[in-house]
Amino acid sequence: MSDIQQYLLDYDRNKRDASAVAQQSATRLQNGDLKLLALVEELGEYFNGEDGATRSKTMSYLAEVLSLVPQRALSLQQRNLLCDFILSRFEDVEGLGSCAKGLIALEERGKWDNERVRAIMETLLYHTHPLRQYKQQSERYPVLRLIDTLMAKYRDALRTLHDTTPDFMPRFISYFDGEKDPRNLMVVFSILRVPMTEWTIGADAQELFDAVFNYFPITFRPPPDDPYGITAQHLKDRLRDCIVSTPDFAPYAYPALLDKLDSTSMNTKRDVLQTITSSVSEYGPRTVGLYSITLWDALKFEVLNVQEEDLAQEALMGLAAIARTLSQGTSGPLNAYLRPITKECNEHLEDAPTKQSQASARILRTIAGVSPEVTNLIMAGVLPNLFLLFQTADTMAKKRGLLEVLVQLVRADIEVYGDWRSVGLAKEHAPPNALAQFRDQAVEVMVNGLSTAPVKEVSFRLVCLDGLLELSKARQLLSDDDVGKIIQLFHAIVTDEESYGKDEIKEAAMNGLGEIAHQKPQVVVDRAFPAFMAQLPDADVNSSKGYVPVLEAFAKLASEEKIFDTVILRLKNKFSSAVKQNASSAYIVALLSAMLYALNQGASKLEQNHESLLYHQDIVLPLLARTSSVDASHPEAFDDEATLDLVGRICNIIVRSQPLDQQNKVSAELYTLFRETSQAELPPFSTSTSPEYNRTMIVSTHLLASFRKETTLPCEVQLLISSLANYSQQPLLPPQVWSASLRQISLVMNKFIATPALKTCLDPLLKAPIDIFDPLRLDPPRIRIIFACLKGILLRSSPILSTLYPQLLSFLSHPQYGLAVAHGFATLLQPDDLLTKQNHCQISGLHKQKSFALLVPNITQSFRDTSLETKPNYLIALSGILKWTPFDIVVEEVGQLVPLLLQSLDLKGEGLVKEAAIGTLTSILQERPKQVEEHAGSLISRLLNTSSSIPSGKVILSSDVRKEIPANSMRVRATALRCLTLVPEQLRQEIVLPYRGQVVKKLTAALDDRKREVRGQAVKCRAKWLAVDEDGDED
Amino acid sequence: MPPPQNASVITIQPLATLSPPCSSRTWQSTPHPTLPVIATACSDRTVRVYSLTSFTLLHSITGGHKRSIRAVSWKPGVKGQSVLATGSFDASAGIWRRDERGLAEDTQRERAGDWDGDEEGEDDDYQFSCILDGHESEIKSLSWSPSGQYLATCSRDKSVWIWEELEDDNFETIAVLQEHEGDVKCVAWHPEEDLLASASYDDTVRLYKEDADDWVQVAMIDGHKKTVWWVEFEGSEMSARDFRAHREGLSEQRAHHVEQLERSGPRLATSSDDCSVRIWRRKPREGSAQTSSRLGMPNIIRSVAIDEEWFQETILPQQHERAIYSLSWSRRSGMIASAGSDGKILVYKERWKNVMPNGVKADGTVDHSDSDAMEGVENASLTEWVVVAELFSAHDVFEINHVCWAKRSDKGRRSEDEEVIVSTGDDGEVKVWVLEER
Amino acid sequence: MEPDKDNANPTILNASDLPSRRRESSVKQREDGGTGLFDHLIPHYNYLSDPFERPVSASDSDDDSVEDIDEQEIYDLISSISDPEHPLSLGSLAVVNLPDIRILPPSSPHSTISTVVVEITPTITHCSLATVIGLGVRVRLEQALPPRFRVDVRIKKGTHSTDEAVNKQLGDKERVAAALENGTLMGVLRKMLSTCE
Repeated sequence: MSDIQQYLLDYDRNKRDASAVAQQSATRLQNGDLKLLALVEELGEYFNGEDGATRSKTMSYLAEVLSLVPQRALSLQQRNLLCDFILSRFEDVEGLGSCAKGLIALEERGKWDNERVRAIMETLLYHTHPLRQYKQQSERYPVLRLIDTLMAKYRDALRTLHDTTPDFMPRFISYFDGEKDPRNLMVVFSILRVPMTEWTIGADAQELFDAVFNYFPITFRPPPDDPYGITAQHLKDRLRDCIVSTPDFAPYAYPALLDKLDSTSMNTKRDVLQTITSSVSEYGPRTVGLYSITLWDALKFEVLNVQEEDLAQEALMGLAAIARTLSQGTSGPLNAYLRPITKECNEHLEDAPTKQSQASARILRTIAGVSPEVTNLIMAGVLPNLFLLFQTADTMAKKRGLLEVLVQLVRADIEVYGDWRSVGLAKEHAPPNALAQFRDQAVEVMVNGLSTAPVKEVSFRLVCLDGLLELSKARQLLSDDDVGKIIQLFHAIVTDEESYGKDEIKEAAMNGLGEIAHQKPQVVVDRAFPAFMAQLPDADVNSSKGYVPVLEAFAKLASEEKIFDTVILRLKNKFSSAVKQNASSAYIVALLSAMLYALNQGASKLEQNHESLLYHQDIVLPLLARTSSVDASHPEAFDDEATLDLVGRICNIIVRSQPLDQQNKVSAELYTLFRETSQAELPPFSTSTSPEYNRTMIVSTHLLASFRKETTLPCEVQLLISSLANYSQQPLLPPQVWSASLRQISLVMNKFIATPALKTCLDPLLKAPIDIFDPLRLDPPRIRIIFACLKGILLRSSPILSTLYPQLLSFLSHPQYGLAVAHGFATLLQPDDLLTKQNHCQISGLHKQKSFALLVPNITQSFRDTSLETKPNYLIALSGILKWTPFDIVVEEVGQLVPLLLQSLDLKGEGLVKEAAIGTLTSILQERPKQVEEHAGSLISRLLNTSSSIPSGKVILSSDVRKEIPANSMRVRATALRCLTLVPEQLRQEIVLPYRGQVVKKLTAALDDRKREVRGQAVKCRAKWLAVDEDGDED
Repeated sequence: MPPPQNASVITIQPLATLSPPCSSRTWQSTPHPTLPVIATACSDRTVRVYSLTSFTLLHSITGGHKRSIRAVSWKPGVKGQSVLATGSFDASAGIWRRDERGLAEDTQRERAGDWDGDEEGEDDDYQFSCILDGHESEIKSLSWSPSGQYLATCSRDKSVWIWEELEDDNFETIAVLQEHEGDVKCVAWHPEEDLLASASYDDTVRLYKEDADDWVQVAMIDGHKKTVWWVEFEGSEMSARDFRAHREGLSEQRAHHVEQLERSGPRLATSSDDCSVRIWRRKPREGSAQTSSRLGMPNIIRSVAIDEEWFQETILPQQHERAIYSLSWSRRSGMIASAGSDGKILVYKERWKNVMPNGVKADGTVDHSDSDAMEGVENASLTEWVVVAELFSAHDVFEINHVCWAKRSDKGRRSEDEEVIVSTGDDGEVKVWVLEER
Repeated sequence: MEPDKDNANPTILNASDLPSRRRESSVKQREDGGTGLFDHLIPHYNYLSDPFERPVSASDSDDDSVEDIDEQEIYDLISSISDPEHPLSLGSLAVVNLPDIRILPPSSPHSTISTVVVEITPTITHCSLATVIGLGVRVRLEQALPPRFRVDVRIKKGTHSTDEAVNKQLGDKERVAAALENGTLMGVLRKMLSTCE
C-alpha cells in the first residue's frame, strides 16, 4: 500500500501514525527512493476525488511531508513547482489550512521572490476572502501565520503591492473581518500593525482603525485550562499597540475612546485611560497638540470627581503624559494646553479647601513634575493668583488649603530641578527655575504663618513648616541665610514652644531640622548649634529642667552622619565643663543620656572604626577615671547605679569597635578601672568590699560586654566564673549589681570559653563546693546563676544543653521553688541588650529551635504526668518559652500545645503567662486556624472570661460592671479581645456562627470596661462578631 | 434595687425570669386567655411559649417568618385548641394552631421537670396553619376581637386591616383603613362592642366601627404630642371591681359620676413618646342613643348616629423619663401598669379625690385633667390616679418593650384571682413580678 | 452615579484640626518638658522579670484608675464613619462635631441610664442622605456603647429642611430595628461603618 493510502488510513485512526508515514515518505524523498514527481502524481487521484475530506487530508499529507524534508532535498525549481501546485489548490474550499502549512514549509526551505509573494497574497485575497468563511479555527490559523510570515519577511514586496494596487488595502483589511478566536486575533493584530506603522495608509486610515477598534474594549476570559495561555492582557496589549501605532488614527481614536470613557464599567474606563496615555506618548507633539484640550476636558473629571482612586491615578498619568509629549515640541501647543488647566485650577483654588481644590493640587503637582518648561509655566500660571487669594483669604482653613497647593508645587519643582544633594530630571542644563521669583514671597508667607499663627492652628502651621522645609531643600533656591532663618525658626519651635495636642508641630520641626541637616549640614552646624549651646547651661543654677528638650533635640541631630562628630564633641565639652562647675546630678545624667543617645544614632558610623580611637581617648578613659576615682574629679552623680549604667554603655559602644590591642589594655583594667588597688581586693574576687566598689561592677559589665572573644581576660576563666558565682550570691547587693555580676557570667559563658573547654569550665559550678544543680541546696540566688549560665550557653546552642536542660526541667516539680523556676523560663530566650552580635557574642542562628526542641516536648510530656498542684508550673514555663519563640518554630508542636495554652488561661493571676499564651493562640489563629477549630468553643469562652473585668461565673448587673475590680490586668483583657477578634476572621463561618449571639451579648460587659484601650478593642471585636452572618437578605 | 419612697404603698417584687431567655431583643408577651401559658414575640424570628406555672419554655415556634416577630395575639373563645396569630416585620401575619388535648401531658412533663422546649414536628407542637399577606411593610401589632370573629393588623404602611375568619384558615379582608398619616403602632378592640382603636406615629388615635357593612372611622383622638405607642381599652364592667365597687354612702356627685362612667362604657388608655399616659372617655349619648346603636338599629343619617366623641379624662402622673412603649389595664383591679425606654415599671391606681362638701378640693392633689377636655373637667376632678408602685431598672439597664397583667398560676399563688405583672425587655428576658403590700 | 450627588464639592477639614485625645505615648505633662526620648536608653533589666521579684509589668497598677466614657470617646467612635457619598469621614466633613455631643448622667440616684445626645450637621440643608447618616451614627453607637446608654441622634437645628421629620424617624426604636433587618440598607450602613477602627 502506498504512503498516501497508509496516511489516509491512519489519519482518522491515529494522527501520530499518520505523521510517521509522512516522515517516512520525507526520508524516502531525501534519499531518492521516492521521486517528487511520482509522489505528486500519486496524489493526483485523491486531489481530484469527490470526497472533500480526502482532498483536504491529502493536502495535509503533502504539507506534512514538505515540512519534514530537509532544506536542500528540494531544488528551487521543484519548490516553485510545488508552490504553483498548492496555489492552484486554493480554489478548493477543502484543506485551506494545509495549503497554508505547505506554503510555510516551502518558504522555510527557500526565500521567495517578490513576484511569488505578490501572487500568494493576491490568490489569498481573491480566492479565500473573507477568511471567516472557513469555520475551523485550525483552518484559518495557518493562513494567518502565513500572512504574518510574509509581512515579517517581505515588507517591501507587500508595500509595493499596496502602493500599486488601489483596491488592495480595503480588501486586505476586510479579509480579517469577524475573526473571533483569541489565538488568531493575536496574529491578526500583529499583521495589521505592519501597514499601520510602515505604510502610507492615508485614506484607509479610518477603515484600518475601525478594523481593530471594533475589538475595544477586550472582554475576554480565557478558559480555565487554556493550553495556549493567552490572557486578556496579551490581547489588550496587542490591540493597544495597534491603536497607538500611528498618529493618523488620532482623529478616529480620541472621539471613540472618550466616548467609551463614559462607560459604567471600571475596567473599560481603565483600559481607555491607559490607551490614551500610551497614545499621547506615541502620536507625538504635533498630533497631540490638536487634541490636548479635548482630552483635558474629559480626563479632569476622573480626578475632580474621583470614582475609583486608581482611575484618578491613570487620568493624572494621562494628563502628565500629554504635557510631557507637548514639551518635546514647540512652546505654542504646550501653552495652549496648560492655559485652561491653570485657569480651571485657579478657579477651584478660590474655594479651597474643598475636595476639588485638593484635586486641583494633585493635577498641578503631577503635571508640573514633567519637565522644567511645564514646571515654570505652571508656577507662572498659578502662583501669582495663589498668593493673591492668600492675602485676601478670610479663614485659616482657606489659607491652609492654598499653601497645601503651594507645597505640592514645590515638591514637583524639586522633582524636576532636584535638591541640594542631587540634580533632578532636568539635569544640569535646565532653564532658570521659575520658582526663584516667588521664593521670597513664599518664604515670607510661611515663616509668618508658622511663627505668628496661634498654636491651635495645627494643620495650618504644619503646612507652613512643611513648605519651608521643602523650600530649603530645593536645589540652589534659598541662600544659606534663608535656610538659616528657617533652621532657627524650627529650632525655636523645638526648644521654646509650649507643647500642644499631639505635638505634631514640634515633631515635624525636629524631623525638619534633621532633613535640613541632611541637605545643608554646615548651615545647621553654623546656625543651629550656637543656639543649642546657648540654651545649655554649663552648670544649672536654678533647678529648671529647661535643658531637657534642648538636649533631646540636639542629640537627635546626631543621626545625620555629616554632623555626628560635631554633636558628640559639643556634648562631651558640655559634660566636662558641667562636671567642673559641679552641676546637679540631674543635669549630668541628662548630658550623659544625650551623649549615649547620640552615640547610638551613629553606632554604624563607629563600626567603621576611624574617629572612634579619638573617642576612646577623649571619652572612655576620662569616664572610667571619674568612675573609679575618689577625688573631686568624681561627680557624686557617679554614685548612682543608673548613672554608672549610662557610663558603662557609653564606654561599651566606643570600646567594642576598638582593635584587639586597645581592648586588651582596657581588659587588663577591667575590674581595677585604672585604680591603684589590686584586683584581688576588688569585686568580684573579694566579697567584702565597699558599696562604691560594688557599684563599679556595673561599668565592668559593659566593658566585658564590649570585648572581642579573643581579648585576654584579667584572670583565668574558671576563677572568674566561680568568683562571680560566689559574689552574686551575697545577700544585700543592690539589684543592679547582682544583676550585673550575673550578666557577666552569661557573657563569659558565651564569649570567653572555647567550645571544647566548655564542659570543663562548667565544672567549678557543677561540682562541689558550688554544685549548682543540687536540689537540696536550691534557692533563689542559685536559680539565678543557673539561668545566667544557660542564657550564655544556649545562644551558642552547645551540645551541653541536652545534659543541662533536663536537670533544670526536673526543678519544675520542686515543692518549694518549682514556681520560681517556672517563671525563670521567661528569661531564657528573652532578647538581651548585652548578649548581642555587636558585642561579639556567639549567637547561633538555630539556638531558639534547639532550646525549643529540647524543652517544649519534654514539658508537654511531663505536664500530663505531673501532680495537679505542680501542673501550673509547667504551663508557666511553657508560656515563658513560647513568649520569645518565633511562630514558625512553634508551629510543629501546635497540635499538642493548644490544650495547654487554653488551660493557662484558667490560671489565677499570672498576667504575663496569659498574655504569652494568648499571644501564641493568636499566631496559631493566623497561621494554622485548622488547629483550633475543634477547640473553638472553649477558646471563645475562655477569651471572653479573660477579656471581662468580671471574674468568670460571677453574675452582676451591667450597670455595675465598671465598679468591679478587674480579675485580669488591662493588658491581658485587651490582648484577649484582640485574639477574640481574630476568631471570626480566621475560622469558618459554620464554626463561629453558633457562638455569635452569646459573644455579642457577653461583650457588652467589655464595652463598659474601666479602661479606654480595652473598650476600644471590645468595640472592634464586637463589630467583627456582629458582621458574622449578616445575611444581606433580599429587598 | 430598692423602690423609691414616693407615694407608692406597694412594692414590685421579682417572682421569676422565664427561662431560657432569648439571646436577642424580645418585643411582646401575651398571656393565653384560658391556659397558664404566655407567648413571647422575639426578634430572632421565633415565638417562645413559656409556662406561667413552671416559668420554663414549653414550645419555640420557628420558621414561617423571615424577619423579627413583633406581635402575638391569642384567639379568644376557641375550644380544644389554641390559636395564635403572629405579626412580623416581614409584612405578613401567621396563624398557628395547637391541639390542646395534649395539655395534661404538658403539665405532667413540667412536673417531671425534664421538659425540652422545642421538639420539632411533634404533633403536640404548634402547627403553622396559614399566612395573611397584604401589608406592604412591617406589621407592628395585631389583635383578635373579643368575639374572635375579627383579627385586626396594622403596619408601617399606615394602614389597618380587618380580617374575618369565615371558616378555619379562610380569612377575608373586610376592611383596609387608611386614615393614619404615619405608621400604625398598635391596635386594640373594645371589650363589648366591635369598636377598634388604632394608635400611630402621626400622634393620633383613631376609632373605627362597621356602618352598613362598611368599616369607617368614627372618632379621632388628638392630644398626644408625639408618637402614640400603645392603646388599650378598660375591662368590661370594671365599675363592679375597682374603686367604684362599693357604692353605699356615695355623695350625690360621685354617684352621678359613676353612672356617667357606666354610660360611657369602658374607657381608653394610651401611652406615648411624649412620656405621658392618658385616659380617654366616650361622651355618653343622650337618651337611649347608646343602647340603640348597641342593638344595631339601622341609622339613616350615618354621621349623627355612628360618630363618637372621645375626650381626654385625665393624664396619669408623669414619672416616665423616656418613651412609654406599653401599658396594661388590669381586668381585675382596674390598676394600670406602664413601662418603656427608661426601664421603669409604674403601677397607677384610681381613687376618689377627697373633696369638701362644697365640692372644693381640700388637699393640693394635682388635677391632671386638661382644660381641652371640657366635659371632663367637673367629673374627672372627682377621682385621681396615683402611682402606687415604681420599680427602677426592672430589666437591668435595658429598655422594656411591653408590660401586661396576667393571672398568677405558680404554686406560690395566694388567691384564685391574684395577678402578676409580666415585662418583656431588650435584654431578651421576660420577667414576672408580684405586688407586695407594704 | 457620580454627578447626581447632593453635594459634589464639600469642604474638608484637615485631620490635624479634628479634636483628638492625646496619645498615651505622648503625654507631655513631664515636669522636665522633654518627650522622654532618653527614657529607654537603659532597657528593663532581666531582674524585673526575674523569678523572684514578682513581675511588675503585667499587673499594671493604672488599672484602678477608671477612665469614664466621655464626649471625645463618642466622637472617636463616630467621626471615622464614612459619608455615604464621599470617601470621606463624617469628622472631616464636619457632619459630626465634638461640641454637638453631650452625655447626660442618670436623672435620679435610682436610675443607671445615661443618655448620649448627638447632633449631626448635614453638609447641605437638603441632603437626602441625612437619615442614612443619622442611622449610621445611631447604629454605630448602639453597637459600640454599653447598654446603659440611651442614644439620641438628631439633626442640628436649622441645618436641614426637614429636620423634625428626620429626628422623629431616628428616634423611633421600632423603625430603626426594622431598618436593620433590611438587606439593602444594611449594605449601605456596613459600607459606611467599614472605615471605623
